[in-house]
Amino acid sequence: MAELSIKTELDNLAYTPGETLRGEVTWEIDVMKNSDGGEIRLFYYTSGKGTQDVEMIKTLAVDAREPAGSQKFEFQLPAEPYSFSGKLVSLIWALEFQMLESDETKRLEFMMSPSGREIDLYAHAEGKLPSYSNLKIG
Amino acid sequence: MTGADHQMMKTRARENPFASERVERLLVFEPEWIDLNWSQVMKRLEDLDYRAAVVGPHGSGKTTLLRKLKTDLVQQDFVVESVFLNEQKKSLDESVWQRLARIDGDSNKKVMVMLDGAEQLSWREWRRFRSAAYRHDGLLITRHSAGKLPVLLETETRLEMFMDFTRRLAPDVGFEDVVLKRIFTSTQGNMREALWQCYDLLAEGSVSGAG
Repeated sequence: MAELSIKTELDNLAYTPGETLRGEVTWEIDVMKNSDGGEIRLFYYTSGKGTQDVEMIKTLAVDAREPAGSQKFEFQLPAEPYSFSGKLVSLIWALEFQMLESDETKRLEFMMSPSGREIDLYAHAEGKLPSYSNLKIG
Repeated sequence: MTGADHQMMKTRARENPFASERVERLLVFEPEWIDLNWSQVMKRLEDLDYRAAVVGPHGSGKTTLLRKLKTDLVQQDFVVESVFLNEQKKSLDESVWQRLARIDGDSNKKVMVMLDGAEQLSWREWRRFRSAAYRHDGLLITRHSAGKLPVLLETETRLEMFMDFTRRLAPDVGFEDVVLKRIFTSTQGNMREALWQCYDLLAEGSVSGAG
């Protein structure tokens, strides 16, 4: 049994492209069988009607030799794709923390776009937003 | 109704309880539905000398059942080689034939070949595939109708199952029974298609959902 947590500096989880995302992971493991350490992953995935896509952007090793501890981390976010949601698909950015000896993971979703908010494709469809023709969805 | 009001009722893809990954997690055919359990299914497969077919209509859970059987067989030290065909991919490319020729078990591991969508193959290609697969220890296929191999089990869908899936996926959405019945009938019992229709209803804001 492992108690894992991820915390970011920004509580509102609203980031802009290219920004540095800083945070800290903590872990507490009942019995540490080996010292494989852990991993923090920065990725985005799609959710909706159709095949789910997952794109891993970067991973960081966590040097976890003790059964309990913490480690700070930072990722520079890429320029795209932006977080968005519509009828058929949403694109969701997330961090995931896993101790490699365990199947347990902790996930934290966040938004990344110029406004720091998820782009609403419903509103876009109704003509409320400008064109996002450069939007890439994996 | 204003545009904003209408928009509030629509469920975003990320919140749609019928999103593909959620459906995939749940849409697994359970042998209990036809009065069997998993160990009986595995015993039956063994009795059929690991050469058998899962038979059922579109969207009845054959693919997810095959995935579950694969997990069980891997746990029993099988090496499983999977091939997937559908309306868009109706024949086997050269890489599959090469894989079938190359794959090998060892003294501890048997090789099971799985073909999902066997009805897509032409008679000639099926003969070739069967011949290549029979050199290994097992062949398990899915088909819409019986015929090519002894039937391991037949998947089927019923309105009660669809209603049960719907309630488990979206307990907070008040689908009326009459609506679900209409959906199930219009999709001719294709569970996957029926659940997609539920997705669309929520996405369009035709019923109130989690969004």
